[in-house]
Amino acid sequence: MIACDAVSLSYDGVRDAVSDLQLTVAAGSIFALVGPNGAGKTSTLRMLATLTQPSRGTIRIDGLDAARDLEGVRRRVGYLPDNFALYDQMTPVDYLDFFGRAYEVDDTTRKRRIDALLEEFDLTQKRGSTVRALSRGMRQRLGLAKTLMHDPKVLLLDEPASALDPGARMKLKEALLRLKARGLSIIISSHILPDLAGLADAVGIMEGGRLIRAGAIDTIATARVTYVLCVRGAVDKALRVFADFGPRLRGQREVSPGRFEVDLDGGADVVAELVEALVLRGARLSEVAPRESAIEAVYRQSAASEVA
Amino acid sequence: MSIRNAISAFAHRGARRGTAATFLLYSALLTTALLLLAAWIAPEARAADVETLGYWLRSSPKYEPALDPSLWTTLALADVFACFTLGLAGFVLAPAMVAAAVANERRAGTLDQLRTTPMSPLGLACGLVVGVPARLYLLCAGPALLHVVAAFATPLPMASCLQSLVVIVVGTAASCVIGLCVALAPRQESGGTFAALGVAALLGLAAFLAGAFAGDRHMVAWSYLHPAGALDAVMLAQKGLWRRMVVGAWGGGSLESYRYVGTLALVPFASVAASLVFGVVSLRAACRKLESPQLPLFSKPQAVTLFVLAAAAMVTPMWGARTDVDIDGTAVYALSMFMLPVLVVVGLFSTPTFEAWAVAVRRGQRLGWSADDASAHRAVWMMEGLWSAFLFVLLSRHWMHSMNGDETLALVWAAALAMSLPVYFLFASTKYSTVAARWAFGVAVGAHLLCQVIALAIVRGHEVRGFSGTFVTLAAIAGVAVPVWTAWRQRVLRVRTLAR
Repeated sequence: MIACDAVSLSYDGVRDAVSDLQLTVAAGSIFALVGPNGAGKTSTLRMLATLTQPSRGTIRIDGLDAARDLEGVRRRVGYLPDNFALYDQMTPVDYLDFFGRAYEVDDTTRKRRIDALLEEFDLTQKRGSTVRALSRGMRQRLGLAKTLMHDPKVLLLDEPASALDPGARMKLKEALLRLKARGLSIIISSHILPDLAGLADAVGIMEGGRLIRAGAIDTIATARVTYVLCVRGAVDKALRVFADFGPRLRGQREVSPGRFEVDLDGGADVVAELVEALVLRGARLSEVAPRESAIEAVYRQSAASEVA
Repeated sequence: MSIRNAISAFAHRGARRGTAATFLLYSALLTTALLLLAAWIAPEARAADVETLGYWLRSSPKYEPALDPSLWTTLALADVFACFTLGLAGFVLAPAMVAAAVANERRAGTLDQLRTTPMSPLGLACGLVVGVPARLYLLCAGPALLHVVAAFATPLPMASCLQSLVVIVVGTAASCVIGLCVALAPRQESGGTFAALGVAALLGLAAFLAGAFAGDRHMVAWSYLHPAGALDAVMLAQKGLWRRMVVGAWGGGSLESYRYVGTLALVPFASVAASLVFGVVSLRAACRKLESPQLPLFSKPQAVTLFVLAAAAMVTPMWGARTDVDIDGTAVYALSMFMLPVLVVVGLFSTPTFEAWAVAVRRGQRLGWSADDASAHRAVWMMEGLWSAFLFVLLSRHWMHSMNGDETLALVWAAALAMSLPVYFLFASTKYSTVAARWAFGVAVGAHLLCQVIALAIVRGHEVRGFSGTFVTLAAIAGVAVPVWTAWRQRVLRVRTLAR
């Protein structure tokens, strides 16, 4: 659905804001673009949204060349920029109606879609209020609804969860999962990694304009994962288990009495083995949880390997 | 996407059906207010004219001023107010609204959101020009209707009414496109209020000047340069209340000149043509900027075309006016002073940004004069050459032969000063990254140019002695030192850019 081939962007002819980007996102999947500020995430999304033309390389959206068929690409893409603004004096209905007209959605479909989107994003109660009166979360949902007015095939979301409270983030996450289920390809950029956990199918890590690592989370999150284990009593037995577990347990730290952080090489099977061994030795466990999500682990490992 | 759909989208954004009804009601109230105001003033004014007429008829020797108290009817006066309202709304307020809205959209980032829709740049530009002031246009519906009704009920001919409406509509569209260009031109997103005030002040001043030109038989040929002058000309050409109010009780003499009346009749047509031509060129520039915001507002060919059109518009009336106006070196300098802001605007807004210039410098290629990344030196020099050619071809026999040594020196000095302008444009564009720094540099260069112009005036006036002589000497030194210093700093910047 989205294919970037050797895409580079330079603003000043010296430093590439985006360098040699190779990226493919399939239909019905969510691709998380993560990285620190200035990594090139926003520049990448702006190129995909046809707001900036790449200095080199080609971008294809749904088979269309983004440099040649601007209008066709724009009809297929919904873009929600970072810190986007709305027209404060308009009502949500007027706002969606304006963008519906801008995308040439016919009258009947437009009215039906406005009602459906307001319903879906829990804004029906506010349909008559001005945008100025909406909370931050509602504005974010309205912005997302706007990007869906023309029924796009691709969604580009730049830091959509920043400045949202936890409840609003949960609702946003649910909405994105619904959209994914409908078959949309979504690229979501964020530096708030927990927001992407359980949401993204694939992740791309950007650093200094380069995509340093990309792929499905399951395939690239194979390295070390840190788990938190809380042991009730028989701590000495737990320590013996850790000592006997073998090389897949790369280290452990007792961060507070009975609470351990253990670094394990491998996936969920290894932690299951460790838990089984602890229970068989008579240790009682009150908590077993990954200290970080898979996406965070991937990001941390990629950042560490870059430093090395 | 069709332009019609884009305009429809913006028109609905500006005024939805319910809002449109409300504003049409406000428009009716405004029209009623104009009628009431006219009903209050007209009888008083009519009585005053009757009294004046009686006074002069009783005087010895008897004198009869060209006064017709019957012109002061409520509808005729309300029509004058309506025309003024339409002109103010269309030529000043609507473009200011467009400039403010677009500047705000740029700052908020909503313009980028609009650019991600399938609307073409032309559709987007047309939508902004039509949709942003939609409420103002609705407010003008009542006064426009009043103007049409007045054509039926007063001596104002229907042809004049139609001419005035065409002038207003075309002039409004062209003014709004200029407002759009003003908001899109700066590199950084400027404040909406600042842009609106700037546009309102600029167009308001131009409207005032053009209106004044229409009432002056020597200057009437230039009144077409702004639609307000053309509107004034249309109304002045008819024997009605507008003429009575503009020329007063004693100023009707100039209207006996066939040349003046004939020019008044031509002005609306010339104005509509000028509005269309400048509107189209400006619209193309706005579309280019909407499509590629990183480019300067004008491409080099667009800048040269715009300048040539402006120069032609400024000089052409000389043909008609040359027997009335004493064309000499002073007129040439006055015209050049009018053209200087045009040159500065088109030169500055065809100069590349630092990023584009740096990319071009690092690429090491020699760019043609028309390349967007090239500095505007050659384009500006071309404009200056064309302006000189215009003056020489059209006016040489009137002034060149009568120039003495000092005036020739002043002319050469002025030419050298004009040649140095693109050096400042490029330095302002590439050296300074903040608006404040650019303004500071602009003010400093403005002060330098002012000193140069004063020195030129002194040289032309043969007053080079005492303090004036010292001033001219210092100005001459600055005239060389300032551009050389700027060019040297530009060279340093170029070296640093290449080294980075």
